Amino acid sequence: MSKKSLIAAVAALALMHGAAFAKSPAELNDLEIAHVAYTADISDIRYAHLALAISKDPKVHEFARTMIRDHAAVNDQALALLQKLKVQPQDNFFSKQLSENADKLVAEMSKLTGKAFDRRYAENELGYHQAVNKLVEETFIPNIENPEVRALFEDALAIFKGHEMHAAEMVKALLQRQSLKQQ
Amino acid sequence: MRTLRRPASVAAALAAATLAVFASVADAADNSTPRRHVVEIQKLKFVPATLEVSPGDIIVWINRDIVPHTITATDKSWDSKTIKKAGEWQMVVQADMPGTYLCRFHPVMKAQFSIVQ
Repeated sequence: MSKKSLIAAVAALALMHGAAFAKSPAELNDLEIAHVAYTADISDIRYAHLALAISKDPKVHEFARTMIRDHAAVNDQALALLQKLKVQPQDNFFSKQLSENADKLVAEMSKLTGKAFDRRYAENELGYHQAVNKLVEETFIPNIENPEVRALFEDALAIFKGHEMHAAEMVKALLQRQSLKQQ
Repeated sequence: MRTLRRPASVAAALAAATLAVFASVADAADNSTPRRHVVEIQKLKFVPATLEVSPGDIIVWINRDIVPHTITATDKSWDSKTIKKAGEWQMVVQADMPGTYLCRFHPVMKAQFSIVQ
């Protein structure tokens, strides 16, 4: 992981643990948690579209297409459940912060090309999934009150853990390719 | 008494032979009747991840996840294409087909079936 990515990951984790805010993600209600998850899904879909537009690497494209397909499917499922429960997701401080971070990252990655983009995208996907999965598993799932919402988060977590492993393989493959070319 | 016993023994022998013939026919039928195996896709895993099958058997995959998957031979020689949530796909096992497979969308999902002739 590059120094920049490490700083971003540490900042994201600090944020997710509420260190920089008076409010903590542990205080969010079910509808706010649903909004955070929706925002996190949308952010990852944005990064994936950027990857499809900029990257020329087939492995990166394959991963990005899976992110779009899966995060859209999870969001559809979440919206269908909220509709069934006759409730709306609630915007909150944490969703806002996630959106702002996503705007900054999209702006930064848009300036990159080639291997620099691939590496930044892959490392961010790994760090992002690690941080979000930790938050979902340790903070959101234990705090969600509605059993149907909790079950959906449990299903989604299993899928996102698979994404984390897939991202780790993508990072490894990109690094190996880079070191082979340098030899 | 002997004359009476003989037909009885013949009948017994015939009955035994008939039973043996029926038993072997039944055995042959058991071996040749294709079996149906079910593999469920749950939480990014194929369950069961290993399976013993025979040529002619049918394997049915059911997607219990909320995201789409594929069932694809590792060497890409066979492929289900996209299986949506709650969707199913089935395949008849051929003697010479490769049994290791994965999901093209999620390469961390791997499984296999071994073919017993």
